[in-house]
Amino acid sequence: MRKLNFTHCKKLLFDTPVISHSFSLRLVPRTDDRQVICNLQKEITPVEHLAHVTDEWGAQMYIGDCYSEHTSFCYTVSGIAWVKNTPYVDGALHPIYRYPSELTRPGPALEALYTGAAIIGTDPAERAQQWMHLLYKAIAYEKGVTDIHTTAEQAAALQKGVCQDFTHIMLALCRRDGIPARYVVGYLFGEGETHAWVEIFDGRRWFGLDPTNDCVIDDGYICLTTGRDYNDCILDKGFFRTPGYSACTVTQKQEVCVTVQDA
Amino acid sequence: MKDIIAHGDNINVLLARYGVKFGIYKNGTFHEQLFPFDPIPRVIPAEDFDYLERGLRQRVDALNQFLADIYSQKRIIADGVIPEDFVFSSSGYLPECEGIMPPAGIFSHISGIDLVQAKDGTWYVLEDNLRIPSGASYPLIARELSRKASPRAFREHAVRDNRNYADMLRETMDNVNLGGINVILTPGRYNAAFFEHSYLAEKTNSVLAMPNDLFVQDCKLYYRDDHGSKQRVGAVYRRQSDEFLDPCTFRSDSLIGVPNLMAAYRAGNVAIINAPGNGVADDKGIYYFVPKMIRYYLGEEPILHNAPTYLPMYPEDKQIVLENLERLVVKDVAEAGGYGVVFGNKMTGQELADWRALIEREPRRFIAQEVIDFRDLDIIDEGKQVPRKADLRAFVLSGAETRVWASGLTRFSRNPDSFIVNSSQGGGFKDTWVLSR
Repeated sequence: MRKLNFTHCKKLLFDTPVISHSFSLRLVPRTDDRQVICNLQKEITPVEHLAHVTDEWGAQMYIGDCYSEHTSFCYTVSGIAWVKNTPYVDGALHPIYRYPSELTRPGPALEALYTGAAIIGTDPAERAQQWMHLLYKAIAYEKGVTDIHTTAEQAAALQKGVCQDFTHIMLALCRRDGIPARYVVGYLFGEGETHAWVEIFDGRRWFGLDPTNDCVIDDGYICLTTGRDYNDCILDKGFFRTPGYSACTVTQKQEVCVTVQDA
Repeated sequence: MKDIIAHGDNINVLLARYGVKFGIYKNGTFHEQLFPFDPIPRVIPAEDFDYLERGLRQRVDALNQFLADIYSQKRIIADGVIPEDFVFSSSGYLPECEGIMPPAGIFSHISGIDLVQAKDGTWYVLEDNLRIPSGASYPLIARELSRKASPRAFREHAVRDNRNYADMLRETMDNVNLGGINVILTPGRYNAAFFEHSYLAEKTNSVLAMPNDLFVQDCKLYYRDDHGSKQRVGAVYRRQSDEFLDPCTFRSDSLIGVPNLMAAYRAGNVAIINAPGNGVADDKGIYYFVPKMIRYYLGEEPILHNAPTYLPMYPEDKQIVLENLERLVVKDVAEAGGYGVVFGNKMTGQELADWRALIEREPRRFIAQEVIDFRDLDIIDEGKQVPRKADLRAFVLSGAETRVWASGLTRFSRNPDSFIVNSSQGGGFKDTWVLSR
């Protein structure tokens, strides 16, 4: 097992004071048969009430609020992850991973990519790897051409994107091919921000594939949370207003820093 | 009866004065319109109502069991009664509700079941509404006014009193309340059914709250009153759709939700009426399977009939639909409120061909039904008595027991040729008399 230190910081700065701020944070990497998390530390500021809850998939969340005026919101989560050098993780299959989701519904571009391919074999893991190689050749990694709302179909039409888009396209192709697949958000050794990849269900267990790097995942990947697509895996959500319901616009700046190092 | 009809215009004037209105959106702007009241009541004999009551209780009990099953063990799918994709590719299925068992196991506390009566007297269920069925307040207030206009008519005809709706609703809320006040949560003044929200809050002695009056703290829901102090909420009868309920869980652009409400609900600290996720059971495609659900969960034969329905996803049904399209009604499973409903007999040759191609291309998106020639009810139109198509929305309340309100919302179409009675399509309503003998 590999021992990794991870730290995830995010700092939000508002240009005018905000109040009545409620948030939900999905920042605790899960512990399963592939990875064990320990020494978890968190710091959230400012905060007035904080509760620790579990979501529908068993992921841990912090929900909380800050009612009084503030102009920044920051969190830091750090810990140690012991990670096995295996792409497999145990877990049951929920039927929703067989069907298209909002961000992965195929259109003409994905349909063309799908029908134009010559994938061989019957083993889901083998087929999924062929889909991964195919899309790695078809899509160019490029920042700034897509955003968090870009669908798999739009990215496939552009033939460009970042890890989120590679993951969405691969999910769409696998599900179209009858292979159950889910979106994973996590940390990758050597990356400065969060990363996204795919887990497919091979009939027995989940199998991790990283289409952005065209590889099977190894012990440098720490999984945070999984879902149908990006929308299910948003790590932090917050809602606030300005004092007195004034009709001004709040501009926010954010800084994110993720580090994963050998411990 | 005659004096009620004579008072029809006065009652409409009073309804307008009380603000009994219905809001609709057209091209993005909000219009408020009166919901026209017709003074001739629909009369349901005691024997018919007994039959409806038994059938409705059975149907709603089975639907509640279906919801509890789908969000937990999914036995009905494992046993092959309903195809998996029908449930999990439905937009009404919410994975966010997976594993949550609401208080007392009740998902649909207030169910609005739409029925029509055919010319031969047979009742058919057209639609189940298990999300936020509206409309109970209209017959309530119309009855109140009619009773004032003609107290004698109600004594002479042995009409069952319908004023107990508020008590039934309150008992339904109390039954699942997890400690605290009952709240009716309205999205606000510009909602189509705002009149109803305020009316029911007053009648059930609940607090009418706007989204900003509610907040979640330490996984519990609170109401902030006018003095700034907070009160714990034990049950919330919310009147906005699931996707707007909690921006931390569902649509993050919702301004009419309460952040982290779902976390409080999942933790078992507040009851949400009706439960989120019910859309998976009133999907127009799932409708086809309700009689099968009744047999599966209750081991009983369905008492009420479904309208004869075809699912084009099954090849043999698709064949029937394509060959008989000109006499069928086609419904888009994702649409509600009378939108997305087309009649084959109104289509031109080209439209029929286009629809056949569309059904061929997206068979899962549609259901097709035989058009039921339903019994007309008389209405007064410019002083003359004329027949119009009408349906009945029955309200079934699931509390400690499942009860059917001895009344209902009878809606009729304005247009003599139309079969669509939804109020969002400009129809009116009648009082519904259930006789006690």
